Amino acid sequence: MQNAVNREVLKQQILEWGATLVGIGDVRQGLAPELRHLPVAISIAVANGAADTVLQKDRVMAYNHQSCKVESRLENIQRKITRVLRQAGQRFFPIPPNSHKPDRRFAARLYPLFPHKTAATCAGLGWVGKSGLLINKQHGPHLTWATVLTNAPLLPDKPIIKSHCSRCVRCVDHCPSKAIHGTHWRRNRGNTSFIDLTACSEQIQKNFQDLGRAVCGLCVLVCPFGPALGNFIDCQSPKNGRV
Amino acid sequence: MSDNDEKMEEILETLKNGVIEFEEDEVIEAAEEAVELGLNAYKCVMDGLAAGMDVVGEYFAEGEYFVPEVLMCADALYAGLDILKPHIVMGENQQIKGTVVIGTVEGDVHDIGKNLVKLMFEIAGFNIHDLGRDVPLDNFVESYLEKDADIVCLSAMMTTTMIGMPIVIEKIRAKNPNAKIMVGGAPINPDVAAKYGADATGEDATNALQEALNMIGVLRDLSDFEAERKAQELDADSLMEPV
Repeated sequence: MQNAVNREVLKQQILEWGATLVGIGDVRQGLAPELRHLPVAISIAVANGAADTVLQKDRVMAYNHQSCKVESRLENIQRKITRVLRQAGQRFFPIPPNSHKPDRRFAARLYPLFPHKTAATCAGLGWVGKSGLLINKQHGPHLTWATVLTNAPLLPDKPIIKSHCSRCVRCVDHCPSKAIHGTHWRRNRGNTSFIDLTACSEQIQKNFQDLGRAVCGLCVLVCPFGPALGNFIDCQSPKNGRV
Repeated sequence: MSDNDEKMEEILETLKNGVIEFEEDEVIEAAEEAVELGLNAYKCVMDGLAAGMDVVGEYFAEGEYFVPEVLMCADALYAGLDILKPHIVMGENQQIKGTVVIGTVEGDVHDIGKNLVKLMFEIAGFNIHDLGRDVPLDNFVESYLEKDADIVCLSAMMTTTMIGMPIVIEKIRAKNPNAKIMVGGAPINPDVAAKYGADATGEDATNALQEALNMIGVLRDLSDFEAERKAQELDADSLMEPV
């Protein structure tokens, strides 16, 4: 091992490389056997930015919150992190932002074993909202996430162990397919179901027919955390969100 | 040593270490350079990429590398192979060595080990017909006949699915008693392979991945198989002669 990784220096570097948020999580609990030698997660997020992506046609509305640019920016940051870890003689396993896209790489087979949400909550960067989305206090759900697992002995940040959504049900109310159950997240509660995935994906397919884009994202748009975009929908919807 | 020989040594070393250290970018760079200089692509694959994967197999057996590292190494190898493979000149020593039908048996969706074995066969210059995972047993027999395959490889991860193997083997043997059949997977050891009537399996190993890695050695040394093939061809020739 050449030189130990300095936690604060690394975090600062990651922000300089363009990350909006960075945190370090102790994720050893419940880690898949294949990844057990990598008990530390470096969780990074980049803000999705611009609110000018609300799509609307007749009475159908969707919020386009996906961005390839953000994903490639995160992947670049991940490459730089792995370079630092490699130089320090540490092990690493990067999990890219979109871990579900078809990927013929061998390593991609392990991506489903570790969710970005675990890294982010353990790193104290957010909680799982009722919508099943990762929510950060400052940026709400307007973030794209990536993770680098490592064995570098980095002191972890304080984890967030329960939801800060309290009684807010805006995402539940505004979901066009009524797919959101309204479950309150707590760590260690096992496999809780937050949304009806079938209903959600059917809505997205329907939007594709109506709007020409396979997006919905209203749960992102109405979340009271993060940039104030929620007003956009409140003034149009007959029923105001109950906050 | 000529300049080209020196360059070859250097590139082989970079390819080998690039695979071992899963430095995909370095592998790509070295492979592209090899192509540019018109170096022997087959040698680059066998003595560079595959030689590196050999070492990875040792690391895995020793517990130095775990599953994620091995998969990242395999990805680095693939990146190099993609570039070099089209430049392999078929000739005296590097002809298509045979046709392989490979798949994971019915009921089993585990295919990382199978894919690694497939990769090794590809490197060794075989034609591969990958039937994928969860393959109905009869499909192996059909493909064997249809592709006029030289080798059939059956993979299973679970004891509940490995019992499909002897059924396939029996059916193939009924068509051709001399068919070459290899079996592999976590629950398979040489005793089981022999009991099932298979011709080969990897050395006794703790899991399928190790077995796949062990196959590298087997596949890098295919002289026996080729000699046998040539002998068979000679037999066929001598049968034709009396006419």
